[in-house]
Amino acid sequence: MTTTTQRPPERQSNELATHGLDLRYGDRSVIEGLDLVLPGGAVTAIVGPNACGKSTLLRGLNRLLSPAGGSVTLDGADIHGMPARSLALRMGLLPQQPVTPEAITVEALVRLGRYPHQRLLSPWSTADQAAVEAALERTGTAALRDQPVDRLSGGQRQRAWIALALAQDTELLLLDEPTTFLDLRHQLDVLDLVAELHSEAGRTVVMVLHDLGQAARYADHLVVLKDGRLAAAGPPAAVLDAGLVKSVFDVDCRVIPDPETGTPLVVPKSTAARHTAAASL
Amino acid sequence: MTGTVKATKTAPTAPVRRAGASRARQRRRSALFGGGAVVLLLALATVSLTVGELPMTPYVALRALVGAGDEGDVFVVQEFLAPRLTAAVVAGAGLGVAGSLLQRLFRNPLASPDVMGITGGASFGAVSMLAVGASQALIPLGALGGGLLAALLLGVFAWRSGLDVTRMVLVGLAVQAGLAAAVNFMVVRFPAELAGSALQWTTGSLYGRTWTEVWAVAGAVVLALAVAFTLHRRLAVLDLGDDSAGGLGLNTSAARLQLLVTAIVLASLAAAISGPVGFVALAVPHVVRFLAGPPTPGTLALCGLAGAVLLLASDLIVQHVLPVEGLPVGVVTATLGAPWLLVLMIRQSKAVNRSSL
Amino acid sequence: MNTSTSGRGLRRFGAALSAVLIGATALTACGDGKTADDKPQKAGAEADAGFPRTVEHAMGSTKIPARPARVVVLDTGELDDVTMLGIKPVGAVSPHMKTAGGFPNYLKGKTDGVKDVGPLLEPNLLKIAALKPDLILSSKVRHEKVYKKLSGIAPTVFTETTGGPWKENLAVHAEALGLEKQAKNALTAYENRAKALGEEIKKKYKGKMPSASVVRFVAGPTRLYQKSAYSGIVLNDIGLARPTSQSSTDPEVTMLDVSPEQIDKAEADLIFVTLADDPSKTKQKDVTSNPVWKDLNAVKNDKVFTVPDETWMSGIGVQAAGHMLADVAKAAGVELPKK
Repeated sequence: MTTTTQRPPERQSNELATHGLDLRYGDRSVIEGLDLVLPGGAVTAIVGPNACGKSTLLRGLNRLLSPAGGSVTLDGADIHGMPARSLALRMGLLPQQPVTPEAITVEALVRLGRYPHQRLLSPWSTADQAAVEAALERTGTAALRDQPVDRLSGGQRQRAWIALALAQDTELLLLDEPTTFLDLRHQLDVLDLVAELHSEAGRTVVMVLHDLGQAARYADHLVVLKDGRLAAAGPPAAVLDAGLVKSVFDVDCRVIPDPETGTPLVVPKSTAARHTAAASL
Repeated sequence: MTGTVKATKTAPTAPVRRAGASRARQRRRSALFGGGAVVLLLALATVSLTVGELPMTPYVALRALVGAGDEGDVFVVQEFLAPRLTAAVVAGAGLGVAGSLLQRLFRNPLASPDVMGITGGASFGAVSMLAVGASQALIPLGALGGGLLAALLLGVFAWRSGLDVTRMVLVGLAVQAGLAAAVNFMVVRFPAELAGSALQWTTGSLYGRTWTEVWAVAGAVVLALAVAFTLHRRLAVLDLGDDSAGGLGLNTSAARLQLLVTAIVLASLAAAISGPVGFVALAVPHVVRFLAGPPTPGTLALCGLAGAVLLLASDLIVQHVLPVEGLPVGVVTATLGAPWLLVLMIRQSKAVNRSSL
Repeated sequence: MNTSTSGRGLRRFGAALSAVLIGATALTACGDGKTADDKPQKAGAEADAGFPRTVEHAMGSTKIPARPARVVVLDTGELDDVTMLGIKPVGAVSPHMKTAGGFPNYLKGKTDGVKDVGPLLEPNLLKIAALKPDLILSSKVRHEKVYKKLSGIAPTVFTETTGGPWKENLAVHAEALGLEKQAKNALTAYENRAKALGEEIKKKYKGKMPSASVVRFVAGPTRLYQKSAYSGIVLNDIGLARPTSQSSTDPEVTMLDVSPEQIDKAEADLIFVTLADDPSKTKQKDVTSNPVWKDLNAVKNDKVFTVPDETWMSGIGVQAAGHMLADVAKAAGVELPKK
């Protein structure tokens, strides 16, 4: 917490944008000609059907994948022109299925988040330790610090990994399906934590989500992809309607206000209605 | 707000363990085993200097080591015992650390210079030197060059996949097999007197090491070890997988290459003074992990110490315990290492089965 | 450089060595004479004439300060030469790797009490040093790697290789020991005897020299030994003809590997067979059960003779050659001419 308040006052806007972005795996084109602006200071959710390129886009946004065409900019600067370490000081990433080194403890894992802040031979500093403590506190993993990560429950493990991303101390966080493999309670835990990071620490969050209702509830900005192209983008309430769900997910539904939050809630039509719809294709 | 997060927020003084307690514990454990290994190494070194054909007291041996005392003792210690002892320690340490680096880099418990073609390359280089009739003094250079050549082959074939782990293991196996075949091809064509030397060189032996060789290799190994420890932080980040490591600003390909080259150089240097000794690089990291826990810079140092202990002990067995004289030290490391490794693997798989219940 | 190293080694060992020499002399003087044999007396007669001397050899030149009395030999050829010259070495390697000790049978009686200093490939340097020798004999092809260490222990003289050039090697060993005349006499006597044997055989075969083939079964492909090999030189001294498959005089090409099907290349009037290894590890069975082998005239005429590997192959020198002459005489059915 201390580290976030120590930030210089002239905040960068942390606006990520893609310009005619093409992303490929070998010969297979995944994202084509994507023009997108991900507003700084907001929580953006990227949604879309399986294999629409959500995770690929996230990897492209963090230089893990080099564009086959176009570019990605952060506050107007091409991220491929930046040293890897400088980018890592501004943007953290939680991959979809991170590799947990065998028997590593929570604290040892979180300490690795300080990597971009350290020089080759620099010793572990008090600032490093403070950032680690803050990350452990914020994610509620301080009590687990000496536990091996591979023995934690799915929810605890996910929070440990988020703590690593927090220890990296970046204003921008990319999260790839942070709720996968978690039960509902732990899904909500993680999303509440994300909301808190945004509301209390002012972090910009870009996350890939599977659940449209959760995306609508937790995101300020929604990006809907289909087949590697942009289907829609904007505030959930403005973007999410039955027509979009039908055209992107091929599901007939009603979109009603969430009785709890008033955000859009996708309610698929009854089985019979959907089956006739599918048969008509 | 979630229950868990709330709980820590509302009760920040809840019984949170002392920061880094487990790290301190592990550091203590590494230090304990490190101290044990150093003591063991000193004991073995003493044995190697004092026991044998020309037994002398540790005091006499120590004085002879620094050039004092009886001229004959000085000669025996300085020219025969000390170079062989140093060669065992240097090669063992290099192999232990190389094995640890490779197993972590490839995330494969069986990755080792043996599997990646480096030992095959060293054999090939040494036997090629014999084949072209070069001076026997050039054989260590041949071994070093052969190891690096194997690594180069590995690089050429695996580079296009961006140093992909699986692919490198497969290519390494292919390189190893190819070079082993080339060695066999040459050896069956050797006259009897060369075939014997070739066998000695393809199994690994510490016989007849000269100070020139030992000092040259020791210097290079120390440098390579320094590089390995400097790069340890990168290795730890690489352990998180390429995506996380990339997200932390690590150039994963470059880091992997740096670490790989370091490991290859260490293994090739070891091969230059001990020949392609098997199993040390493979077994030592497992033993250290079993004793001292998950990898840290401390356990990397332990791997070096344990490698030195294992190779020196094996060489003492070759010299003083076995009834048959002149067996290559590699025979002993393999016979010691293989069952030990099996035991570890069985234990580990049991532990995994238990924890999955 | 070799001179300087051996010189330094000598200085280092100077004190120890002279002490040992004095000790040895004392022992000889007050001993019962049994260990001394007849050699020291002979040496005593010639005193240290010709010493110190400098011997030029494969590794450079080496100064030998006094007539060597404690000799260590690191190969079988050296062992044959040295014992032939009446010197019992203080140490020798076991001839075959991985067999514990055991000097050649044909030198029985001449190797009693000789210390086994380890296997040929890796002789135990400490054992050698403990023997405090005053001369070490070996060859570059065997022990180049440890030449410097050996020459630190004692003056060390190396021949280039072993086998084929065995007569030249004998001359080198004799020079180091100061026994050139004895060596020359022994070699001439052997050569005359070989020639005489050849005459006998020629007579027996009605003026046409029979041909001889040398087959060695080893763990690996079966080998035919060439004219340039040690055995080839002995057969040549007798004057026996060799099949075309064994007519190489190139010192680099001393053998030819053959498969069981190619064993017809061994066809000759007399076939000598040696076994270098446990017969089960060799191809002997495959070869001798093969129709090609059974079809050989020598096989049909029962002219295949199994001879000791240690005199025909590994034991190299005048003494081993003497045993070969006896084997050949027996095979050809003639009397071996007396010395």
